[in-house]
Amino acid sequence: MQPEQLMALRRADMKTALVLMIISTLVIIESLSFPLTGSYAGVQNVWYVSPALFPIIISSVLFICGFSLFIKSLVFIKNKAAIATAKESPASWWRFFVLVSLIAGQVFGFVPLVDFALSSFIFLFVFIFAFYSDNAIFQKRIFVIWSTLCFLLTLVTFNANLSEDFRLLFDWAALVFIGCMVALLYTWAKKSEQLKVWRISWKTALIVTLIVCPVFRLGMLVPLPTEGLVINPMVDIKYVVRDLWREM
Amino acid sequence: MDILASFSIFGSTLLTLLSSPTNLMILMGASFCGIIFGALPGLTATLGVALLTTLTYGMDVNTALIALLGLYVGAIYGGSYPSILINIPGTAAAAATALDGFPMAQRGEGGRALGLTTTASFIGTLLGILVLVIAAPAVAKMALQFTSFEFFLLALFGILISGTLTSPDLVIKGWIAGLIGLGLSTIGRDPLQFFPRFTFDMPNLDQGLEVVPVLIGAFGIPQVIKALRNRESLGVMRQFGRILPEWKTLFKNRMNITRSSMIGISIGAVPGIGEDIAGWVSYGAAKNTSKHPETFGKGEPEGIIASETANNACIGGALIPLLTLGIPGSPPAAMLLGALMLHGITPGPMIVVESPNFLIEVTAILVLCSVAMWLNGMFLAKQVVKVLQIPASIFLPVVTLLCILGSYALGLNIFNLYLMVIVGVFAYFLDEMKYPISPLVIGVILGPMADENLRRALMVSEGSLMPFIERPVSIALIAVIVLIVMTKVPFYQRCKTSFFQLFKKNKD
Repeated sequence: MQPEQLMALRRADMKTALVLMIISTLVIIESLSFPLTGSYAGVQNVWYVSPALFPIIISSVLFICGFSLFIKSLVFIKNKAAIATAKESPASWWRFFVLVSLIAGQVFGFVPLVDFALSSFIFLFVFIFAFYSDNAIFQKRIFVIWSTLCFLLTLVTFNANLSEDFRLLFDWAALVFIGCMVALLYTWAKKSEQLKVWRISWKTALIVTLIVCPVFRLGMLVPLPTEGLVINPMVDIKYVVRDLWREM
Repeated sequence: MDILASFSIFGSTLLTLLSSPTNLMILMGASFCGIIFGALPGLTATLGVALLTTLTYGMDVNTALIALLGLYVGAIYGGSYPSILINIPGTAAAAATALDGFPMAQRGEGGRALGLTTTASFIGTLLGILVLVIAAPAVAKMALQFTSFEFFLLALFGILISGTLTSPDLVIKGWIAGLIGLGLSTIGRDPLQFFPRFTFDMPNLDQGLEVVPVLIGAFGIPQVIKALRNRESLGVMRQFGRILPEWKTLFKNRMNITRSSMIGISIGAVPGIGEDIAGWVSYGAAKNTSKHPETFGKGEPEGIIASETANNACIGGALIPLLTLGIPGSPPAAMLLGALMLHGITPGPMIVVESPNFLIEVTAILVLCSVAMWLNGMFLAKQVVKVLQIPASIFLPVVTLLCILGSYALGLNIFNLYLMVIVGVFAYFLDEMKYPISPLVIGVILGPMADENLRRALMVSEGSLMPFIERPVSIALIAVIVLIVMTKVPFYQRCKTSFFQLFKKNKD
């Protein structure tokens, strides 16, 4: 490891150690509110049976380790104050934000609200395009569009109790969104002469969705997180085919 | 159970498994997928086992074990492909293989190197299985004498040793990771009084954190973020000829193979550390004992035989504490523990009493898995290499989707997905700051065992700590734990140095 990277690591260690010490203190305070003596649910408590015992031991040791790490990193930083601190490039941070927004957006925004086949397709298509094209401008644009949309979807998920009919509207909206994104990314790809990337992205997304969803839902009988516009008819078709097969 | 009866069960299990075409297809498929998982840099055996666990939910135990162990054995071996062909280890376990494998491939001996690693891995796995069969019943018998005191200390020892040996930076970071894992395991209702701890009135947290989403989040998401953020890509693949086992070279290396297997098995049996350390230690031992150590690193077959035999022998070693004590010997074994629990099997000393045939059945399955690995390695290597050419930016989004499905499918709970993302991003930052992830995961798995046994032990002794130092196994474990901690404390190291200097002065 380069000295600059080591300095950056020790600075990060110092901050982490502080966070660890704060969290372990909070855990100890919270644990002290657990029944240490007296009776809980008919059980007479003594300190060694208390549910607080293990968390208190763990957080106390964690506090000591955090403190030790803090001192170690502080000594290192003081002794080698002349060494500069390495910094991650902004482009690398951007890629990180795009990645986290894609994964978190899919999980918090799309999965609870939109039919899983539709959400899988759009997720894979956008994800593959963003990173296979390896174009920072595309990644930033995708980040803005994806995060805004997923933020709105998350708000709906956590704040509204939707009926199935109303939720189905989100499937139709997702279908429209897929169409818009496919068209939009096509124009971006065409401008930057990356049509091959666009083609591979949608083909891969489609093939994977067409394999994964039936394998899990029909093959392994695992209900998917949200079933609607695509998954429900797929299941119905399976049973129609099965009944026809049995009748033959 | 006498030896004849054991052989009879072993044979009948093999026949039953082999007579089912479905089992054979699953075996070959899982082994092939394992090789691909191991071969693709960024994907690991642990993640492979974690994702496959979901798919095995509907299967019977033996079929599920065929799939899981087939993938595990294949993935440990698969790491050698990119090590040899492009000088990028597919898994940390195969890092030492690259030192001599890649120079061999550069000389046009890629096929020979792959043939040697395939057969060395096969032999290593078989020797690991042999020791598993011999040692496991004895360890389990001994473990039957263990009480809550020993189980608490054993869990603590597992987390501590894993933190000590896997930390890429300061040792204390490994311990912190283990403690964070233990801390996370306390979320939910406590096992003795069902008192809700750190649940913040969220019903989803009442049962505690589910192991599978935590594992997938901790091992899968950081790999995806790291590979795509750092734009990791594969180099140009070296061409290789026909893959042949080359028995003559292997026979010449019989001592090397035996030593490497023993190293692999011993390291695998230590809780929490696994194939990667075994590969390096064995490579070092082979170099130190070689008649021509100067050729190591320049394409020496002895080097690749040593590292590949050891990392695959580790599998048998890792299963010894897993099956007999319920403590995983390596990170993929930790995932295997979760998978076994999902199938209603609780590994531990009682397994020899509750299911006396289980160990032999696992042995038979492992033998089949190593044969499948060898066959796949010999005949399907060119197909694996084709898969290796898929860019990470196409492959990893698909892996992310599988992570999402894997985390959801077991509990059918969207909360598990939130958990996976949060744990994943948290584990990524820990990984970036050089905290090892394995102790954290082992902490989450062993936490409930440590908590429950500590309190049970204190309940039995009515709060007295004396039994901890009165019982022989317990005091031995305490001595080892204290020694591990002391050797890493700077004050102890200073005292040791001054003591030796004083001794030296007196001698002078």
